[in-house]
Amino acid sequence: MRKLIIFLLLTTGFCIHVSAQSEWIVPQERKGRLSSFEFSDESRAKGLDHYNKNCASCHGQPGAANYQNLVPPPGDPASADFLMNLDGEMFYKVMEGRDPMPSFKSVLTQDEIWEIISYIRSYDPNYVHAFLPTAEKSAYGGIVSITLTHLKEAGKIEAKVTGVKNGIIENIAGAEVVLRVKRTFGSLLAGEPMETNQNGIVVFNEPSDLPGNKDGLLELTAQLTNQDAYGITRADTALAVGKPFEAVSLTVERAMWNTVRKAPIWLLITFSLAVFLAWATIFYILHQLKKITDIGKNVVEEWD
Amino acid sequence: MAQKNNHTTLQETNLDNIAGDILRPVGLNIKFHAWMGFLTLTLLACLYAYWIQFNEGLIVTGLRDYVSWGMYLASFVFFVAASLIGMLISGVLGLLGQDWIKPIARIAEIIAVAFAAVAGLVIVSDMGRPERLPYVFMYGRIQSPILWDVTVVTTYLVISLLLWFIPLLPDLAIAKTRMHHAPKWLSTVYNFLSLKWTHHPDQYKILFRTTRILLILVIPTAFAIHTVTSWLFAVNPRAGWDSTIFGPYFLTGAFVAGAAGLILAMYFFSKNYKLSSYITADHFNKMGKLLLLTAIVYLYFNINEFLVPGYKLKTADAIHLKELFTGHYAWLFWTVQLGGLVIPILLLLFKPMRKPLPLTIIALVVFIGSWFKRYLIVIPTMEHPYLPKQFVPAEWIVYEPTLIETAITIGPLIMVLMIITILSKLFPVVPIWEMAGMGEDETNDHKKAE
Ligand code: HEC
Repeated sequence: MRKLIIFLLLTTGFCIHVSAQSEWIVPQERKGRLSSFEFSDESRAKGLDHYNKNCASCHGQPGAANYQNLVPPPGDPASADFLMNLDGEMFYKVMEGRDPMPSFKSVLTQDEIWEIISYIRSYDPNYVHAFLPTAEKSAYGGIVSITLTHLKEAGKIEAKVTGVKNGIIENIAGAEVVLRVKRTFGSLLAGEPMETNQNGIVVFNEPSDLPGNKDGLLELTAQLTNQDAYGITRADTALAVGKPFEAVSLTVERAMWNTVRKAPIWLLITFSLAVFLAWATIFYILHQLKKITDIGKNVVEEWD
Repeated sequence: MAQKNNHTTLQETNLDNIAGDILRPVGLNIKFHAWMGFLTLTLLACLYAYWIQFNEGLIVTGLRDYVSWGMYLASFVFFVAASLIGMLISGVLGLLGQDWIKPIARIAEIIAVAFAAVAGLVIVSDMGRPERLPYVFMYGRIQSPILWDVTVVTTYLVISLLLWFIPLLPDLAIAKTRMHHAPKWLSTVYNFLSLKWTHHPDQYKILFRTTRILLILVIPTAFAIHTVTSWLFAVNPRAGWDSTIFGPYFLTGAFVAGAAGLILAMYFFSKNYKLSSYITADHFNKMGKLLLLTAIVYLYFNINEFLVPGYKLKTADAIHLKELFTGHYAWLFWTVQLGGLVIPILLLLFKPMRKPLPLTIIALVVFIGSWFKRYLIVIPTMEHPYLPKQFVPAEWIVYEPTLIETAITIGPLIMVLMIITILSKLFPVVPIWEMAGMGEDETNDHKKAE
């Protein structure tokens, strides 16, 4: 009897576990989230680009059902099951991820995720698009902005968050700010997100060991994480805090993989020399054959 | 002229006998016409198959995205391999002073010329857009082994042709006055090709000097042609090809195939042309030993080629080797390795097996095995790319040659047989002058001079 109970407990536990695997619950308060801009051809085009770079490797091409064979299956974004997700649910799932689906929170900006969703929705004939009108963007009710200042001597980057509400400018305290550095694929967190102090200020250490462009410029973005409270608030800047780095194109120098005009010198010399030697010998031999004929002619003349 | 008069009457009768023996089968008889007719008809059927492929594209073959080098490329490697025998016999053994090769050296050169001449065509059959062939030369990159291959194959063909032609000059001069049974145009051809050969000592001197230079030149060229052919594969980091010993592996494999091919031709000519007093049992015995030696060296390379990756079992190699040892290609692999290499080696150790008939049968098995060995080198690797194969039609996954493809593969072989037939039916296959000991004074002078 005891054994039976244990068995039952184990099987129910197992069933619950399995159902937990198949059901991906999105917290109630995040389901209804909407994009802050209206989906457009432009956003769909950008979304397609992000999708191909970040998602296609697992999800395949929408409509082709050629997603990876993973457990649980990623699913085809153009399938009814997939499109059943509300915008907010999709947004949450892409932000947070669930093994083996990775979290894209720190890889893509929120706008970029929305662009992907706008692209995926182009496969949804029943989709009715809704987005947040500008005025309703934030619970704060005013316009929030971030000002970035580079404190060169200290090696710090200061972000000051201010709001304008009812014509009054104020410092915003306790808002979480995240600083990101743009990389070739996605972006990189520059340190942990931090909350603004009483003066609406948060100070980040400048990233010290990242390769920038040839002048050492890094493209930085500061953003408020609480989009519900403040709307999408970000500030971009480019600072010469990275290591100067110039990627030399692999086709500039002479190389084995380059065009024939940029073939390695040693190869040109060896190849031409070998071909020349072989064919010079062959022509020498042909010349010798002519000599044989000449000797023959003379002999015949002698006999005559 | 003093030297010419020195030849004794005995030598003259000797020459008459030898020339009679060797020239008897030369010329166009009914057998020749029947055989060439048969070859022509077969070739026309193959050309028709190619016509279909030319119009409809490679879709009529079993080639798809993964296996883009199928039987055609296996055949190409085989052709290049078989052509290398010319270099081994005349070049290596000739320069080592092995005089016994004299009666079979020309046959070896005929094989070399025939296979090298057609090898290029085999490549073209693998091209979906053959009319773009000139692009290889217009936009070819000197960095590509394909360009190196085109270069060395052409060079080797020309050298082999010269190595066949120059020692033929005295025979052409001998034959043009003796071929009474032949049509007049053949005498005209001989007269034209003999380049006014009068057996003058100076002519012999030039003949010996030029062949000697060519024999030295042919060795690096032949090494280059098959090493470069192996690089077409070995420069890829793919399981089964990613090997540092592919050059010598291909080279020794080529000697095995070529030696076997030469034995087949020797048997045919000694029986059919009644030349067994020139191509003797001793020649077969010696060729049997040569085949044995090359096969042992090749086996040694085979062991290296499979044991070393088999010991490390890197993932891709493991998949590849499993496919060969116990998988889809297992029966072919073991038949080729055991039947085409190990058992022939064991048999050839015994002298009775090196008698003409048993040796010819063994050589035939080895020769056919050599072709399938190339198949095993080319195709299983292509079937296993590094990236997983997903969502592709079933026919892409396992390569299965089609009938049309088979016909197109047979075509070049027919051309090889045609070239061999023409060269061996219109011209003496055994050097008459060497058998009759002509020009020996000059050789001796030449040897002394060194
Ligand atoms: C490493 C593979 C992988 C990548 C890359 C990936 N996904 Fe996923 N995705 C999955 C898997 C696996 C699931 C199913 C997860 C589960 O059910 O637990 C999934 C589920 C989802 C879901 C939920 C589907 C549903 O039916 O509820 C969405 C939405 C989603 N992915 C969007 C994306 C987007 C957008 C990207 C690109 C930014 C992306 N995924 C990149 C593997 C991946």
